[in-house]
This record gives sequence, C-alpha cells and structure tokens, in this order.
Amino acid sequence: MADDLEVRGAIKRYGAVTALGGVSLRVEQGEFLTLLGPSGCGKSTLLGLIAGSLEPDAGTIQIGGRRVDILPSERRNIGMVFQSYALFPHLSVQENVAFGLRMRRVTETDIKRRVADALEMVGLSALSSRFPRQLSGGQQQRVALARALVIEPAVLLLDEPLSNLDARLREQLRDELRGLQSRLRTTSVYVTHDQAEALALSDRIAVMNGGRIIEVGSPLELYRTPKYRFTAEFLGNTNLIRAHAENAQLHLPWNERLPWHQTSSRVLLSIRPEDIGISSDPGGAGLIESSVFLGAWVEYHVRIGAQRLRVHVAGGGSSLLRSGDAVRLHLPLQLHTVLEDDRVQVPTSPADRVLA
Amino acid sequence: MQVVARASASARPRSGRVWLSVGLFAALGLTLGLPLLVAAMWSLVNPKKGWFAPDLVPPSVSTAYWQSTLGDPSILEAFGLSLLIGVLVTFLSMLLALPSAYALARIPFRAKRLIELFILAPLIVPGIIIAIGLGTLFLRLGLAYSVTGVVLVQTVGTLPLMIRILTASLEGIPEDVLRAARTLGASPWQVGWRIIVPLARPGFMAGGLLTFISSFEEFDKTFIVGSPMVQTLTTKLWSFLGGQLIIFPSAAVVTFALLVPTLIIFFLAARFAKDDVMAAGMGKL
Repeated sequence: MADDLEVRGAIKRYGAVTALGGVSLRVEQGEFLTLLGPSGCGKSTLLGLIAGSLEPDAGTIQIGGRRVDILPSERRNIGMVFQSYALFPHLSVQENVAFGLRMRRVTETDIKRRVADALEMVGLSALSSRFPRQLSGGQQQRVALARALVIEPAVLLLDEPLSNLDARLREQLRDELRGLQSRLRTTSVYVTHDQAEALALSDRIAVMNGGRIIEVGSPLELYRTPKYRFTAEFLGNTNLIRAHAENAQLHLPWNERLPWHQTSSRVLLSIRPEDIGISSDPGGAGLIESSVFLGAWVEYHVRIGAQRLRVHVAGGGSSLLRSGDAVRLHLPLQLHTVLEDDRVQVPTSPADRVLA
Repeated sequence: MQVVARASASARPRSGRVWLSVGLFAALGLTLGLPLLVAAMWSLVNPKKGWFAPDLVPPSVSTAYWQSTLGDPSILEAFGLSLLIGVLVTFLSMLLALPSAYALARIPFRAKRLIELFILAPLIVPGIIIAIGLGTLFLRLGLAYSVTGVVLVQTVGTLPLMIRILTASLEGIPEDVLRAARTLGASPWQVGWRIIVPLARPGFMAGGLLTFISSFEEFDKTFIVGSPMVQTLTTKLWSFLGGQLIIFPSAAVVTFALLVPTLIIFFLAARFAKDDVMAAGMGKL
C-alpha cells in the first residue's frame, strides 16, 4: 500500500510570481519526509501539486512509478490531513471515516470492520456516532487522520496538521503521530513551519525557502552539519560568525586565533548556542549583556569584541552569571562552516496564503 | 456596596431588553395583528346587517361569508393551483439557481461583481414591467394563460433571491472540505451530491421557503400572464376586490386562506432552523 513518491522539476507560477521554481524530491517507500520552511516558501504549493489540487506548470510527479500529475485528485490514492481538519460537518465520525471506502465501493461489512479498526487506532471508538462539532480540535484531527489512513493510501499528505492545536495537545498528538507512523510505515509528506515538529517526526527534512529546496537530510545532519546558512538559522538557533583564514590560522572577529586547515579565506561559522561553553573569568574577553531564564536552560547574550553571541547553558549551575560579569567562552573543537545561499530570496509569493 | 453596584449594573441591560421586546411586539401588532384583526372582523360581518362608518365593530356577527366563500369550489381549486405553482416555482428556481450560485461562490472570474449586479437586476425592476414584457412574448410563444407560463414568469421573479441565498450558503463551505472529499476518491459530481448539496441545505431551505411564499403571494405577473384562465388565490382575491362591487368580507376570508400556508411555512422554518445548527457546525472550521 505504501509507495515511493518522486517529484521532478516541479514549477508553479501565479502570474509573474514563481511559487515553486523547479523542485525535485524523492520520498522512499515508508519514509516520513517533512517540508520545512517559512510561510510563502512554497511548501504548501508543493503539497498541493502532489495532492492534485493544483496543476504544475512543468514537471512530473510519480507515485509507485506511476505518473499521477495527469490524474485528478481522486485517482491518485492519497490520504490528506489538513490544518483546518476539514471534516464533513454533516456526517458522523463513523461516516466521515467511511467516506473514502464508500467512494471505493467497499462492501458494507468491510466498511464497518475497517472503520472500527481505524477509529480504534486513533482511540476514538467511543465517539463514533458523534458529529464533528461535538469534538475537540484534537479529537477532530484524530478523526481526520483515521479518515485519511483507512483507505490505505499510497502516500499520506499532512498540511500543518497540528498548527491549530494548543501547545500541550500539539505535543501529545505529535507523539501519537510518530507512534502510528512507526507502526504503519505509510509514505508520508508532512508540511510545517515548526522546526520542533520536523525534528521530532521526520526521517528526513527538506528545508525550503523562496520556492526552492535548500537542502535535504536527516534531522541530525541538518541540525548538526547544515550546508547552508538558511538551514542553520531556520532549524534551531545559531551564532553566525564571519572569520577569515590565513596561514593555517583562523582569525575570529575578536582577538582569538585557532588552527585551521581549510583553504578558503573567508568562512562563515555556525555555532549552536548550546555548543559554546561559558565560565566566569574576571580576565575573560566576554561580557554578559543580559540573561534570560527559560526553564530548562538559561540564555546568555554575550558580547565579545564586536560580536554578540547567544549561549545556552542547561542544568543546575546555570544561574550563576549576571549581566556585567566578565566571562571566558569555550568554542567547540569541531567548528562547522556554512555557505551563504545566493539563490535564496525573500519570497513575494502569496501562494502559501492562498492554500492555507 | 459592591453587591448593590453589581445588581444595578446587571439590571440596566435587562430592563433595556424588556423595552426592546415590548417595542418589537408593538410593531408586530401594528403591522400584522391590527390588519388581521380588521380582516377577521370583515370576514365575520353579517350580510343582512352590514358594517358601516361610525361602528368600530360589526353590529352583528355571522359565519355566512366563510361558508359561502369556502363553499365556492373555485376557491378550493385556486388554493390547490397556488400550492402546485408554488412547489413548481420553488423546485425550478433551485434547479436553475444552483449552477449560477456555484459559479459565483466558488469560481473566480472576471467582472464577477457586474454579473452579480445583472443577476440581482430583476429584483429592482417592478414585476408589472417584467410581466408586460414577458406577457406579450409568452402570448406569441403560446405560453400565456397556461400554468407553465405562470410558473416561468414567476421564476423570473424568484430566481435572483434564490441565487443570492444559495451563493451565500455555498460560499460558507470551506475549500479544504471539498479538497478532502476529492483526495478520498470522490469525483466532482460525487462531491456535489454528497458534500455540497447537504452542506448548502440551510440555503436551500431558506431560499425554498422564501420562493414558495413569494410565489404563493405573487399577483401582477400571474395576473397578466395567467388570468383569467389560470386563477390562483391572489388573482381570485383580486376578483373580489376589483370587480364592479367590492366584496370586502369575501376578500377577508381569502386573505386568511392566503395566510395559512405562510404561517405553516414559518413554523416549519423555525423547526428546520434548529436542525440546521448541525450544518452551521462548519462555522467552527
């Protein structure tokens, strides 16, 4: 039932605005891939093309090796979950879930059994005769998930499914979603602008901006070793430091030099706030400008030379330092460099808003 | 102190509400109750005594006019015909309005505002003008003096409102719901029949009831195209009022006959409106 998905050279324009500028993407069978990016980056447009609610201006889409971009939505065998839940308000929970099976002319006894199974899977068996308006947002989204999965789709598409829920529920449903995915292994494409969701759920993440895919990789790869500046900044927090290399030495913008072996002379370092160590030192070059207590960690804003750095310190002894304290910073041994991405421009396309 | 302050704060809006409802009921009484009361008195006039100027109430009461008017088989016939025409006009309007309403509600196209204005235009033109224009045309087409002709000419008048109401109702259906149905395997026709039509039910109900009532009470177009061959209740009422001598009491009885279906429909509408809270559930989306 799960199939692989391949998008090749997909282009979508709205008048003069290019919402999607030639995107290629491969999702393996059973893989959970997230399209992550700011609003207007083209992620919802790409999902719309796969779902068949939008037509590409160029490019092809294949599911399980079969070209689907020429087929109408209803013949692509996809399941889709929406931010707005999009349940049928005039049908009971049971009939909502049964809808896709009825369209497929499944026999009545099979419909009954499969609907019951699907509702049990999302823990809503007791509410099968309710109507959508009688359910909470979290329950509605579970029904939507059951409705999309009961047809055993080749590909499951999820368009910001957790964005309308409050924080606690969002985390709970996120965990349920991960549990379901590890059990069912449905090929899934998940759209979100929330990096925590992307990190928690995905096998791989495709970071998008300005109608293009910036880079694709596992959550660990993209977080630890992003190739591009945009990825480093969008996925979590980071400190970007411009430095130049000379005679096998790296000159940091403050009076510090580190041994360096790479050839390029200008480098852009990306250092995560939690990778920088900090210690109180009256002779240290750093000066704490402010600190923010965030519960699990403390965020320090440290000025060193002309540079401002963000430093996260977790755990017990984290509240020792105050504004005005002189500190010494300890950079990680492995420094990671990122590339500026010239292709990326601020998107002007209203595409995501149109689809939202 | 605090308690007193709170009590007076909540008392003020409540007394305001009381006066508002008193005002509304007074307006209702003046516009609906009083004319009906006068009509009721007229219908009960004793034909032998009459009812003349200085008397505020008829000097003598009798059911003679009720008996003679309702005993007239042509009244019953007219009542049946009015019902039939009302039902036909309602369904024809729904059928014709649905495609236009769908296009206006869900398909973006150029000059939409202009088209909307054109569709609403017949509401602005007086019925008598439409009737005279179409009346001559229908005469040539052989549609004059037939039930078909009356149904068609009335539909011209009811269509704009039906389109307007259905458009509003279709606009309220979220695009995602339709997209969800498509991805689940429904063809555009199946989406129409299984999702759009049920979700537009409040619009069909409201538009249908208003159309039926306006057909049931329509006079000028029906009169010009249908009379005297096609006699609905309203044209019958006219024959009591506009003949050589005005028969107020009979006309009053017909007025009540005209009122009955309208009242029944409003009670039905109130009941259906409760059910339609269900469809209004999509407002939550």
